[in-house]
Amino acid sequence: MSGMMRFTGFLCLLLGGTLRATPPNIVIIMADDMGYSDAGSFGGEIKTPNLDALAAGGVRFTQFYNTARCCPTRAALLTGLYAHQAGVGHMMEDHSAKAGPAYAGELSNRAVTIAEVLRSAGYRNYMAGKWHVTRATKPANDAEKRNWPLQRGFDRFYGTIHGAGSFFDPNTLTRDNTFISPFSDAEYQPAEFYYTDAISDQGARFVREHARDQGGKPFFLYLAYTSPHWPMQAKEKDIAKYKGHYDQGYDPVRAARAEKMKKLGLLDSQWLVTPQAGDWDQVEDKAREARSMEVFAAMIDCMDQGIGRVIAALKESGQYENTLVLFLQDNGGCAENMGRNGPAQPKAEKPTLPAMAADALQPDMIPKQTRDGFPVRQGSGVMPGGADTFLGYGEAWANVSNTPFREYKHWEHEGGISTPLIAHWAAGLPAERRGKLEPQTGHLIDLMATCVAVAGASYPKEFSGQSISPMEGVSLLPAMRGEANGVRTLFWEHEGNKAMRFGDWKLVAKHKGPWELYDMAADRTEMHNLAARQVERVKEMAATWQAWADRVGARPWPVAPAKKGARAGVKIPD
Amino acid sequence: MRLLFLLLTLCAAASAADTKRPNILFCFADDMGRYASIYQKVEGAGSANDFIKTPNIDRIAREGVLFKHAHVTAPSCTPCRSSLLSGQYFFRTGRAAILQGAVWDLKIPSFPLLLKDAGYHIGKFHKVWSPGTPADAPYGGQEFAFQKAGSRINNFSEEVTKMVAAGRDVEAAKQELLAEVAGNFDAFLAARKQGEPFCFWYGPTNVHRKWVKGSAKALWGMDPEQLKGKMPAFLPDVPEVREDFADYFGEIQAFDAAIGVHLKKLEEIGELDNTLVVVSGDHGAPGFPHGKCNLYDFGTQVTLAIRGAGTKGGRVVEDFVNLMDLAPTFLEVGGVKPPEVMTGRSVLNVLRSDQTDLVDPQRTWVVTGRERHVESAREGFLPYPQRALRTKDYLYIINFKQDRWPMGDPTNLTKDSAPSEQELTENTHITYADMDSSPTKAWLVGQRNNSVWRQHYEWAFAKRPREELYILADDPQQLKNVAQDSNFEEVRAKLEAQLMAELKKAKDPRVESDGAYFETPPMAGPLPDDVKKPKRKKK
Repeated sequence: MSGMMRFTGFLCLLLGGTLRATPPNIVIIMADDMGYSDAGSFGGEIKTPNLDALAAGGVRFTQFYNTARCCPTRAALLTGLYAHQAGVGHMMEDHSAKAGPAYAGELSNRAVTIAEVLRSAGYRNYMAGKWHVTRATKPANDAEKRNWPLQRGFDRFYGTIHGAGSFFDPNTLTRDNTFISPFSDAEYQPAEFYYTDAISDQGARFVREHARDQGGKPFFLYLAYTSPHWPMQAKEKDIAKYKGHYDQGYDPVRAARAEKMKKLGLLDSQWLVTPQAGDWDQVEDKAREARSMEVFAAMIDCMDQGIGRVIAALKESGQYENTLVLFLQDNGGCAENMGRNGPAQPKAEKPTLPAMAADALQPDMIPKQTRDGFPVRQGSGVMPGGADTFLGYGEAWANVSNTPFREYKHWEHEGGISTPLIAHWAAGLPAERRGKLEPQTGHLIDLMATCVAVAGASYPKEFSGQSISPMEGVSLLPAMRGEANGVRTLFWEHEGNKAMRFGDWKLVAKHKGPWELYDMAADRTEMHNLAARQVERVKEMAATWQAWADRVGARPWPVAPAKKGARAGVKIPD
Repeated sequence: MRLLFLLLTLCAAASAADTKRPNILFCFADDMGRYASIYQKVEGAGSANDFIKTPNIDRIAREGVLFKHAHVTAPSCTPCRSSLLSGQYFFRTGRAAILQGAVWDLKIPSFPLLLKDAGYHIGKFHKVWSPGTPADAPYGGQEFAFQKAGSRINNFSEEVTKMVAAGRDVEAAKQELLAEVAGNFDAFLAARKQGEPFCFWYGPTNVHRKWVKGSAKALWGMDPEQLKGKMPAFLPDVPEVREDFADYFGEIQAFDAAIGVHLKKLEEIGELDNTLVVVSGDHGAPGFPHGKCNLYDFGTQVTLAIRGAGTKGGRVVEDFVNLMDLAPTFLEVGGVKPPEVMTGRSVLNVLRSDQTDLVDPQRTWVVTGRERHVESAREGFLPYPQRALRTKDYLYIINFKQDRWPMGDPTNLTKDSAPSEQELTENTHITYADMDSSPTKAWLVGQRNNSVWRQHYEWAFAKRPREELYILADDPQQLKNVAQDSNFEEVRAKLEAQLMAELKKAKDPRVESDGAYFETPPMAGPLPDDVKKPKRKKK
């Protein structure tokens, strides 16, 4: 008997010593132009039960950062490099001749994507949603698709190459390597096409198909929603849930969010809440203003429902426990005034234009018309929501989205670069971390290092014959587990706006503006500029920022004269 | 039925594993004394080990055996390594018994080459045996080097500081250097043939000077002020020296992180428990008084933690170990009989015992010694010959040529004039050449006329009597020499007899013909033509 026991014990030792944990699946979900406090678990009133469930079962990073803009965020997320190093120092224009490779407007071949690295560790890679890291939105041939998803490590792709468009009829919709029309796509014919649903449904489908066909292999799914980026378009049944919720204007919503954030532990009582942008009393068209936020809320609501369907697919196929799910946002709430002002036409009673064929490719970010022949309208008085409208929700609501922070998408103040990061991994994180807030700083550049660490992959020094820039970030796994990740130094530059974070210190400036200095532990809302009192620190940090800028190739803004009304072409340099 | 089959299969695998010879991973830091956070447990709170965090060394010690009394045979890189590789006292290794001017005699058996002949896949990262000619000869030279993934870890604080100045995140910069460490070890493992046991020597030099002033704080967030009150008595407890000492600890933390990289890999390939993992250092702190090139504990005592390959874990032992004991240990683990010529004794019996305290009753003392370090430290290119016997209760030292300067001649130095602070910080050979240039050395020399610090200056540099005896119960820091005290004459005489008997038994040339072997060329005198000349800064 005791011999048997000893044998069993030995067996356990042997097994413990030789078996390795199976690498987890990785799902990265990103929302577009969503503010820091829009999700329920970060203080918002918008219904996000599925994100909240991920938060309750996982860890919420409270000081996680993006790059303040779509393209550079996606480039940094995918490559683990600063966007400039990845060739996306601004957006999708080619200024490389004047400003160097940091402004090529294409993913650099000195960078590898997470998909490319994970593939080498035996992962299958799927993507649904917005790509937006190539200028090739009208490729003349396959060679010009060299920076499309399948050419950068993904096995399957469904989504849009371009960065924005109609939710009811998106331009550049693509399956794998081919443009498709949502209305003649044999693989997906829902009762009503809505892009957010399509992304969710394809994501869930990839999860199920993977379990069916590729069981045993781990997978990576990159789910990049365009919700709630303009245009404010949503399904009426989702909008209906928020009818009347915003009729009292900005202030009560913002106050309620601040209150909830305090309760959740996200807003320190010593931080001042920034002043509200926009005076509700001065708003002439209150009905349209309230409707804008109702549609915005509905867009997030629909995305959350879709995330629920992807999670359900993971659970159904028995893959949920060992999946690392990460949720984040690409930049802060967006104050751009898309389509809100100027003269507008009332909606016609009947279509005024010829209908479009189901298989026709709708070519424009702002479609000229709906499929059934109604012109797409912008301007004051246009009520947002439907397929024939194309509007933003404006600065004041963006300010609500970014409660309690200053500024918006484009800027490097906290309102521009702060995002929730929810990390859920039942099999990989200690149970006592569930529902916890994690205050250690992190940045998009850390996602590559995190994926490399959890997958047991190795990050290459060379790829396809090109030497690859070393990873800029560090794995977030220790921080997820509640261990110290050291003092971080992080940098930002976008359109001449610039910032640096070193421990609790943040140095930040607007384009052409002076450096501001904040102690983020005492003042994360950036209300007490200490620059005049700490001249030496500012000098020292500014010198380090400049060394970083020189190293990654960031140049003084503007890097090239603005082209009036010109759209970026598709010419790709060799 | 399937379960039974599975069990049988596992049984077969288990018995195969039983007969598999263990691997060896030896992590050997240059210039690292007895430092690891786990030594707090041994020393109690309030020592400098309070200041450091070495989770990986601690883990090896926790899951393995931690040695309280591990000493090098000689507190100088080359002779220490000659001894470790040959399994013999340094003074038995011919021209390899000194530092500058060392030449390796291939007739001396060395454990790595013996393991290689016995079927081990051997490999090394960076420093194994140097300075000396030919470099790393006892490990087969550079044939078994694995460092193509990069060796920037050797200049850890310099490299990371450079990267941080260029706007890299400090953690990311560290990770980048550690990825090179991982890459080298991966390449070594990838070159292994199916079923071969391996022996890998990780020998970085980052703990060796120079390191970047202020790097402990900048790269590790270690505040040197926390060392206040924790400094050994012979180190001036002043900001300049605390910062210097803290920076040394930062480099040790980097060494620890690199150990972690190796452990992780061994875990991933399921070989951790079948690998004898050994962590140690080649002598005490460089550029500090009583450290490197001294036979005090601060110079000869080193970290020793051993895990795996049947080691019974969770124990701290009192057994005295001399690092020459590692060669026969490695050989025994690899199933190779240690050659008769080896004076070291395997510690495998200690590792595989389940006792604590003193496991092997014979392990109650060590003999250490020193001949020449920097060749030009003294007029006539002469050594500073010393031998010592360290027991649990006493440290007894004989300085055979007490008229010589222990740390080298005070060149370029008078009461009124001294080299500049920069020269003292950067150029070892400017004065007292057997102590590495350092901020601490510069500070001490600067205080030579200050009565407050005169004693510290003398502890560091002054001539010493022929005999030194320290009673460790009263004087653990080894500062009150009682060799002339008649109350301890009996003890002194007994220790002298024991030391001399051991030296004679081991055929130490120092105790034959008044040490003529070490006092004449090629062991003394200018460097002969058959050795590589060191690169030197010109005054």
